[in-house]
Parts: sequence; structure tokens; C-alpha cells
Amino acid sequence: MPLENFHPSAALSMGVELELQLVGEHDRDLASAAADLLELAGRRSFPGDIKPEMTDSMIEVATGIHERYPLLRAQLHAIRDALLEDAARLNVSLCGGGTHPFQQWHERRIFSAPRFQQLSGLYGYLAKQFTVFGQHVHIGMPDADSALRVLHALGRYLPHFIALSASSPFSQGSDTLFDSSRLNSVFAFPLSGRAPFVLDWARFEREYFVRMEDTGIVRSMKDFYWDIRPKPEFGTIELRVCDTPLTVDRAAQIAVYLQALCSLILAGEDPAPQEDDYLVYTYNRFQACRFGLEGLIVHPRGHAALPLRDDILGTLQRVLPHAERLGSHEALTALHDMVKRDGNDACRLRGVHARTGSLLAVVDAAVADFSR
Amino acid sequence: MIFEAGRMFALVGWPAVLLAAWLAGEIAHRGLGVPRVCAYSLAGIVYGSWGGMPDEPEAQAAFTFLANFSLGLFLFELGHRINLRWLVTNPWIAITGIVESLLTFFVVRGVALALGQPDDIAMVIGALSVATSPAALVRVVNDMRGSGQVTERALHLCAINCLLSVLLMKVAIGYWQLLASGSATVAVWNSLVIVAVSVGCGILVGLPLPRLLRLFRADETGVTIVFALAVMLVTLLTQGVNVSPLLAALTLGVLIRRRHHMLTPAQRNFGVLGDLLTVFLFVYVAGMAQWPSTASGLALAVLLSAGRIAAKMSATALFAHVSGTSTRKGALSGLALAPLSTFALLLLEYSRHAGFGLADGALAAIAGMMIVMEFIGPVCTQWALRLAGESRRKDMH
Repeated sequence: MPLENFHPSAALSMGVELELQLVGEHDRDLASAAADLLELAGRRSFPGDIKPEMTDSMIEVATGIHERYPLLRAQLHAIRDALLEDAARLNVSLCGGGTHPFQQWHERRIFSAPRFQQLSGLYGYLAKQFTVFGQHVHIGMPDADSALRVLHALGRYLPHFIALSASSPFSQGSDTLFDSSRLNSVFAFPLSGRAPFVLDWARFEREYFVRMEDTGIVRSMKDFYWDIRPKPEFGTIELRVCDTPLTVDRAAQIAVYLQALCSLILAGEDPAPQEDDYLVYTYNRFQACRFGLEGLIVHPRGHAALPLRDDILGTLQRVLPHAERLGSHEALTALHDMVKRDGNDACRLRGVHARTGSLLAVVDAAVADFSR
Repeated sequence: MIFEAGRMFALVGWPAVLLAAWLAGEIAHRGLGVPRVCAYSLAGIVYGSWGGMPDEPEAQAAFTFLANFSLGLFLFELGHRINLRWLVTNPWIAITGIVESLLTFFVVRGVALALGQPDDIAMVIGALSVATSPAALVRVVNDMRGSGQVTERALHLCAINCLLSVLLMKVAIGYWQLLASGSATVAVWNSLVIVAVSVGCGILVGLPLPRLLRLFRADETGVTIVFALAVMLVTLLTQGVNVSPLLAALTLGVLIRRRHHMLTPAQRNFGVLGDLLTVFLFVYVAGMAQWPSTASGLALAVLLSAGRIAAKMSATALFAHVSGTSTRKGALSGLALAPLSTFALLLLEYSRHAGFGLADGALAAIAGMMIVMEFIGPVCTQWALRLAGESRRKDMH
């Protein structure tokens, strides 16, 4: 199957996908409720898209295409409210967070659908370990070459999104010491990582995609689990490194930060990407996963070490004019306050654990946050 | 001396029987894929028919206490899973439970009457048939690590039908006492006050517990021990004042769930303690049942069982869609309610001690149904969860 044509979309339009946790009311462990929730959602006109995920304690929801922050946020709220209403009828709770703190991966059940069963056959236990919950953000691109340029320019900012959304400090009953332990589950997949450094769509297709296709390893872009990947059928680039935040408001804020950053890059206000930028990519990504906002990254140009928190605060300032034009400055102010004062969701969850000594209380807090 | 030796043998025989039952349970589970509790019951029936059950009053009292305590642990665990708020946000669950219980009562009573049972006995049989055995249901759910709508609904409906079964039994006893003594006061006392006092005992013991656990930041083992001792306390307390230990344990579980922000979970099934007492409970209760002596007794058993399951499945399927699930899953949650016996037998045993003259007659009439459901009930639950795709242990063995 040849690479699909890149269908240009309205530049800087955006869509958000959230993978959510379904947890039991009585023990706060993951609950097998995806099929039941889908059945109930199917009975109403659901205010968004809803579909199953790899294991049956996960659900994925998606917004439509939006250009402005208030509408995106409003739809996320509507989706959240509909889900909570249906879940209450089924005695199930919903929450965000990149991992469930104490679920045991071997108890997960692969969702009963051919695609997931096939993936489970291929990936073995990796499939069940993939019961992690991420936020994906799509940003519309005017053409294919711009998509590749923005994609590679964003590589330098990837740690921002990891640190801002990080909400998976606990995994399998322990504190991992990572702010985002979820991404360690993603890195285990053979086709994870980053896109090859090609800035021209025709060359990308000819010199990379077709050759990979010839190897028989991939059939479509869906088979690549890259941190950022082009989505030709939507005409978007898709950022995939974020943990699902604890609140839908945070999810919307992160999406519009990406929108503003893409606007800045498309306007030519950021240096053009170079292949050598990737020398520090994996290290910086690790710093963001491990230490969150406390991470110490290396600037790809000049190689100066700089605190991730300062880099984010500086970038928020730089994109502010774009955010004002796009109507999302209020959201960036909230992110600014979080970075400067409150800390990310991983910080919040660790705080609950330190106070109570209980991972059940951590899930309780996540459930409460999701309805806020 | 001969008497002493026989007594000795009866007592020493118990650990050996429990060990044999446990081994049989493992074989049944691993080799045949049948719930462990079916094998425990088989061991109990065999041992009971050999005359292994205690016949002295002191030994009987001790065994009854142990059985009540064991079942109390299950009821506590069931109560712990009951979310009263769900019954408010989705009132159809409670309505399903009430209709399911009443339909079971009338259908089983009708079948019993049609098969020639006297009216008062038929009423007792109907009341007893309403209850799903929480021990078998909770045990199978825990063994399969069940999770999903069928599991949730079966557990909530079980709590409702146990409660209604106790109430209906009290009504039956009250009716009988009214006939026997002509005193309406005694009937009312038995029908309502006992329920209130049982619930009160559960609340009394349950209120201080969450604070205690928070104060000590108890770990998993600690929480399990404290909960087990609390169940033991309500069992003794309620037996002491002649009210229902089972209802008190259920109340305790519901209350703890509502008040205790579960800082640490208790071990599932009360850990090893729960595992051991499960073997005892099923062996003991099955040992009390008797094979029906005639072919007509067996026919009665089969017909009563079929009527009971059909009533439960029809009611749960009828309200499935409106309560938020598919008709198929609704019917399966009715099927999961099939287990009988432990709760009913202990209820009857308790009533007999309370001087209920119909207990023996009712026991003889439903012995067959007990035996049939002893094996079929847990298997029905297992299949219901399996068909609903709610077992998380599917690929483990």
C-alpha cells in the first residue's frame, strides 16, 4: 500500500485524543468496562468520538477539529460529562493519568477486536504492558513539506510536552522515580522513537517509506509509533508523547501550547531544524521523563545545559503573541502558573501519596480531579 | 472409653477431610476447570453421609459459630463491594433486585405448591430460594478475578436478595408463630426488630474501625486482621442476643466501605485465613444436607432449581436495557445468581435454634435442591462470567 497523499488541512486547526482509565468503584483497580461503556455511549448522541483501546480497561475519546481554545475546551468538557454520566450508571469511575498506579499488567485483557488481538499476538506481553494512557494532539498543516519541517523543529521542544503533561510517577505498585514512566512502555516497541530526518515529503516517501514498506515491516504510517508523526490522511502532525493529564482543562492547555508553538515555527521565527539537533534528543527526552520540570536539558545549538523549567517559561513568553492572536493566552497563563508555582500532575500525585501513604488514595485523587 | 475414641476420631477426622477437600478443589480447578467450591461441597456430602458431622450440642454450637464467622467474612466482603450510591444513581439496579427476589419467591413457592408441598413449607422454601449464596458467588468472582457489568450486578443483586430473603424468612416465621401462638407481638418482634438489631450490631462495631485503621496506618495484613476480628465480634455479639449474624456482617462491610477511605486494601478473600475457612464452610454446610430419599424428591429438586434460575434470569433480562446493559448481560447476571445453600442453610439452622418448628420439614423438602445447586450453582456463576468475558484469569491455567 503506497503512502497516502498528504491532504492539506486548515493550518493550526487542532484535535485532541485522550486515553482514559476505567477504574472500579470498590477497589480502585482497573475495571473491565470498555465494552459496557461503549454500549451506553452508542445509545446517545455522544459529543465526540469514542472507541476501544488495546486492553478492556481503557477507552479513547477524541474531539472534532477546532481552531479556538474555548471551543476545544467546551467539547472536552461535554465529552467528559457524558462519560461520567454513563460511567455512573455502570458503577465505574474514570480518570486521567499516564499509568494506573498499582494495576498488575498480567491481569489485563486484550479488547475483543481483531486488530488488538493481532497486535497482542505480535507483541506478546508488551501489548498488555501497553495499558498506559496518553494524550495525542493533532495540528493541521498547510502542506506536506511544512508538516515535516514543523515536525523536526518540534523535536527540540518535545521535553516541554513530556514535563508539562507528566502524570505517571507510579507503576505496578511502586514509585518509579520518573515523572512520566508511561513513555518507558512506549519505547519498548520496535518502531518507536523519532522520524528520520527528511524535510521533503516526496523524498520521505521515496527514500524512507517505500524502502521500509519493501522490508515488509510496515504497511502504513499507523505502524510507526514515533513521538511525533505525520498523519497524511488528516493533513496533520500528531504529537504522541504526552501522558493523559488529570484534568481535561490541562489537556486543552497543552494542545493550544502546541498550536501556538507550531504557529511560531510556521511563521519562521524559529531556526530551521538540522539533523544534529537530534544528538541531544534522546537525552533531553530522558531528562523530561525522569525529572519532569526539574529536568536539566542540553540545548541542541551551542550545547549549553539549561533547566527545563526555564526553557519552558522562556518559550511560553516567545509564543505569547501567537497565543493572543489564536485566542489562547488564558490557557498559556494557566500553564505558566503551573510551571512556576504548582508543579505538574506527577508532583500532585506524589503529594497525595506522601500525605496518605496509599496508592488507593492516589487513584481517588485522580478520579476527583477528572470531574473538576 | 469407646465413646471417647469415637469422639476423638470425629474431631481428628476434620482436618483430614478439609485437606482432602482442598486437594480435590485444586484438582477440580486446575484439571477440570470447575470451581473449587464444588469439590469442597462434594467432600462435605461424602463426609456427611459417613456420619462425620458433629452430633453433640457443644460441638454443634462451635461448628455453627465457625460457619457463621466464615460466611460472615464473605458477607463482609460482599458488603464492602456494595456501592449504595450506585443504587441511587441507577435505581433500576435496586428495582431489578426487588423484582428478581419477589419473582423467585412466588415462582418457587408456586412450584412447591404444585408439587404437593403444604402451604407453610412452600412459603419457607420460597423465602430461602430468594437468596444467592454470597460465599459461592464471592468465591467464584474472586477466583476468576471477575470484573465487568455481570460481576457488579450479580454482587449487588446478591446483597439485595439476601436481605429480602432474611425479611421473607422472618415473615414466614412470624406467620408461623402467629398461627402457633396467636400473638401478633411475637410475630412483629421476629419479623422486624431482629433485622433492626442485626443492622445495629454491624453499625456499632463498624463505626470506630476506620478511625482505628487511620490512626495506626495499618498495612494490608493489619487491615485484614482487624476486619476479620470485627466480623468475629459481630458474629458473637449477634449470636449472643439471638439476631442475624449474617445481616450484621453485611452491614459492617457496607458501612466500612462508606466510611473508610480505603488507605490500604484488605487481602482478597481475607487471604489464607479466608481460603482455609472457605474449605471448612463448604464442607460443613454440604455435610448438613441430605440426599433426597425418593425419586420424587429428586424431581422436586430439579423443578425447584429450574424455576428458581428461570425466575432470576427473566427478571434480570427484563430490566437489563433500561438499567444500562444488554439483555444478554442482564440474563447472564441472573444466571450468576444461581448458587444457593450456604446462606439458606445457615438461615434455616439459625431458625431451628430459634424454635422454628417448620425448619426440619423445609430442610427435608429442599435438601435435593440444595444438593443440585451445590454443584450447579457455582458452575453457573463461572459460565456467566466466562460468557460475559469478565474473567481476568482466562489465560492463566
